Amino acid sequence: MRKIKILNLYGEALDLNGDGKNISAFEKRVAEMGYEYETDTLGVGDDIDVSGYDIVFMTHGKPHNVSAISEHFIKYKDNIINNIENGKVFVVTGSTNMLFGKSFSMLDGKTYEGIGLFDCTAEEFDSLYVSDAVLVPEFAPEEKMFGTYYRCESVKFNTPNENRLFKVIKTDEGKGSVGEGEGCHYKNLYATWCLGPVLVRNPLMMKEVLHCVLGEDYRETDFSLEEKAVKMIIDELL
Amino acid sequence: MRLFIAICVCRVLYFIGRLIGKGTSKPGDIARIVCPNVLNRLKFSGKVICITGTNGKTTTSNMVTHILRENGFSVINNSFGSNMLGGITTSLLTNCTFSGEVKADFSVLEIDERWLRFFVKEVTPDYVLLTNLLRDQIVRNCCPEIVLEKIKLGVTPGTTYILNANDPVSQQVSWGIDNPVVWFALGENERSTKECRSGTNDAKVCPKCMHNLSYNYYHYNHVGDFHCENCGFKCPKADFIGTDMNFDEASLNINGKPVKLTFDATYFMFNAVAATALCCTASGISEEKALAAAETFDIGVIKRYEEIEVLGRRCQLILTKQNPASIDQSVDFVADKESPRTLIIISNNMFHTERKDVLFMYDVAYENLKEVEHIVIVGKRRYDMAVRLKLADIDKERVQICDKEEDLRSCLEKTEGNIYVMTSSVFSNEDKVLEELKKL
Ligand SMILES: [Zn+2]
Repeated sequence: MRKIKILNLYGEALDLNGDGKNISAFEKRVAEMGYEYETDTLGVGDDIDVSGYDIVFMTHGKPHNVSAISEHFIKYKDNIINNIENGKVFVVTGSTNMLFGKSFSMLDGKTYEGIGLFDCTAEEFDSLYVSDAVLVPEFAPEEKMFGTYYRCESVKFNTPNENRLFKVIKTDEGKGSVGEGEGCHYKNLYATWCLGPVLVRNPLMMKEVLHCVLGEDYRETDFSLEEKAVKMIIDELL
Repeated sequence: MRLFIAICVCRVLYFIGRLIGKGTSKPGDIARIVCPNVLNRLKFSGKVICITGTNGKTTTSNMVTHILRENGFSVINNSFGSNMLGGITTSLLTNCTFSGEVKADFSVLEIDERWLRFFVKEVTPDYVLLTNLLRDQIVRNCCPEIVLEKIKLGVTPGTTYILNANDPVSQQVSWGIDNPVVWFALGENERSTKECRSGTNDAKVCPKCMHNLSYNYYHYNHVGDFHCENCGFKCPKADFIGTDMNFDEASLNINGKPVKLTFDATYFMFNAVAATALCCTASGISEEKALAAAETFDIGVIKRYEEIEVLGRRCQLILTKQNPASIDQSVDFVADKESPRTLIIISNNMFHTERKDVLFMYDVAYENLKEVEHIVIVGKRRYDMAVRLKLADIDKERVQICDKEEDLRSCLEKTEGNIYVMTSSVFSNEDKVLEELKKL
């Protein structure tokens, strides 16, 4: 029987606002399809090699923790980038995305290096941008998703609207707002500044990621409850 | 002169406000416009105590006030008002002389953790007690470390800090400062767990080195007995420690001396240790005297757990604060009740903002409701709650989604046992649901 190997990278340090539940929900779907899974959590005490995994999750973390793990993370820059270039499935949510840009500067006055996969820089500011959002995913342009932004970073992409994961059709205005295009979809990397249980709540994105990992082994499962819940939110927002 | 006018304006507005049932912040806010930095102009004849933290500040402040008064000290506090700058200003200006003298042995002020840094610009507290820092409503605080940074900005020379030795987050206030610190803690007991039972644990990694933090036991969330095997960071030695808890009798020993409280919750015992530490340190009374007074302090539990009768069954309202730690406590409260039980969860958009992202659901350990026989979900975000309960492996046969408040009766008729209604002020239609319930 096929066994899916899942990596929850820095899962202990990056654990804010229920993002970890994306992994639980993914595991449940895999099991429901009849496959086994095994999940490892690695952190700053470990050596990192992502090559043996079917999927790597990096969830939203506290600003302090994201900057504190960056030094460890960039030591494995080559391993991470090579695997992404070769089609490794990655799901990255929330402020953890800063680690994939060129650099990010924080309120502590320091600038931290990222692995430079995205051509962007980020800056932390002393307030919180909060918004519900309706998103059109690039992988399903006829459909809609619900997202949540809580961020205290403003992000500057040097290559506007290239490889964006979502077209943003509704958000609140304000400092730190996300603009028209958000996130990155590069090869099999799905990255968004949306945080929280993005995959739990959006069957569309969960199915996309499951397809990506399982390919022909994908099996249908029941998403009716989740579909009803997210439709109610989107209908209320639009 | 400005001070005098500010005091008069504040008192008149406060008096009118009381007549028409308005809040207590406005008079203080307006006094602050009349006389900016008004608190700075007051003369305190006694000591100023600030009590802050995510949970437990109201109870702890009331207990501290009670203990000090029982021991013959005069105390003024802001128990009738808001815990932000306006409310505190109202409390102080309505309790001082017209020349601005605050004639009390102690001013015990409960203060919102985000506002302490503004308060200390005008008044240097003699003591600051920080109960804990837990994950709060996300729109307020994002994560406890953000609040921690704000509290650190308000550290003042000469202030003594009373800190929670079991909390690896809030105790970081003591890092890099020379102020005296008094530590309080609660020892292992029958309710402590080896694994974290709460939905959130904000200290899975060591705040100093980011390696995994180990725990001998947890009280709740990240509060417990911890140590880091990589860098040696660990619980400081407590100056005041609660041990030998007996929950059936609501009793424990504090520094080896027995005390019997009026309520048996873990957090209440924590509050009692913190209040004892503060009162003994600030007033010099003996531990015995502080504990004797603590024994007669009544939390007023009834306000949090109100009872009505529904369909001839006992129905208890469980009001939570707006944060996951508080909702976790309510989940445990219901999970501990005898079978069979019916839980009504009122799930709505965020209070005030009407935001639809109810992320906090994912920071609560609803997994602990697995044994609850019947769950009925109502409110605008009922389907989102159903998705959350599905992820928590709650048997779907036990869950009913009630699409209209009017259908509550038919939903409840399919259930049995005592009814518990879990609601919090993050939700918005609780009044309507409670109305429906009272009609049944
Ligand atoms: Zn450490």
